[in-house]
Amino acid sequence: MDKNYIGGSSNLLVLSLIHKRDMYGYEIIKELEILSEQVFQFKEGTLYPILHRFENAGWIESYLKIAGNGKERKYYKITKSGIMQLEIEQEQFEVFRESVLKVIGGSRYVFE
Amino acid sequence: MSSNKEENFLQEVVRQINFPFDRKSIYKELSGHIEEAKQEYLDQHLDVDEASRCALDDMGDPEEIGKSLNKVHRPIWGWLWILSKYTMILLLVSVGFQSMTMLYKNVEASRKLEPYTMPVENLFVDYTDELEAEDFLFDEMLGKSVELGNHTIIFERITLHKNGTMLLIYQEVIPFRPFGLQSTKHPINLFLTISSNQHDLSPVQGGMNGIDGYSIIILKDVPSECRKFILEYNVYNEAFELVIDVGGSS
Repeated sequence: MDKNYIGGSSNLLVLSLIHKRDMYGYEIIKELEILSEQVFQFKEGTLYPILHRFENAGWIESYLKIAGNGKERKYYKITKSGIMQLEIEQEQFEVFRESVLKVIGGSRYVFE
Repeated sequence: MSSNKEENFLQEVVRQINFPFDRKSIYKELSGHIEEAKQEYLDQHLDVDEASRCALDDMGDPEEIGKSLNKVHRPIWGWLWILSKYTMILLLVSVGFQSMTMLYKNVEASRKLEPYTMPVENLFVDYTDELEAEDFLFDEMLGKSVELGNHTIIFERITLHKNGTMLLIYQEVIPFRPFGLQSTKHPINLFLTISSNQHDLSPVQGGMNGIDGYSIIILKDVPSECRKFILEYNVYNEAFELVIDVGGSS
């Protein structure tokens, strides 16, 4: 799958995951891979600018937690304004998805 | 263990970050990610070098990652954050310091002093040459206290020099309030009337001086035969009246 597809929906995907539970970066990457059945695989490092941008926007907050191996992990937690943003993203995605379906459906009618 | 390659990768990322104080946390976060990714490859029986290479490969281009991180780690906000943090610390420290000084001052003001027993000659800075202990007509310890509001005024000592200068040494004890506003001492010399043997000695001449927490009312031209003094004070519903009888029993 073309990696560019993820670009526009990265907000929606990442916010949705953090909304389910607090997560750290590596966990988010793994979860994306598993849930999308390997479709969403992108360069893992590019997740962090997204997370830090969300944090700046106040959509998520971070905190440190010591993992089982004794190392610190930076967890992200969604905020109220993050939940509001998630709803906006979901609506936008619905509009996008329906528009795409209409166009695809429409084109089929033309060819039939 | 992080290899040289991983170290180079991380250094390349943080090199792009202009704001120095965010570099460490970015380094730690990405380093943790690489560690876990590498471990997963190790679990799949890759050797250390391969696992490290694969993990770094998955990360992407360090320069690109660093540059996009730098865009969200704007120095101006970072500096403002740091500035506000230190301003806050400074503020707290100074508030703390002030309340400590205030506490100390309040403790000082509420401390009752011992009666003033130092030679009174020392108090006459203007007349040091002519003053001798035997030139005093009287010099008596009093220890008489009156209540003024919630303050206590203790008249410690009265002394009259033959040149007509009389000293009335007293202390004012203020109730202790740990962090409240400390009430100030009463300007007694402004409102006190002192009379003796039909002589009105007020308004008090010479005003008030202080030494080591004691206050001193100085009266000039006091007739040498005066021995009984009536002190009256009445200001803003706070009043007292005191009779000092030098040489008397009360």
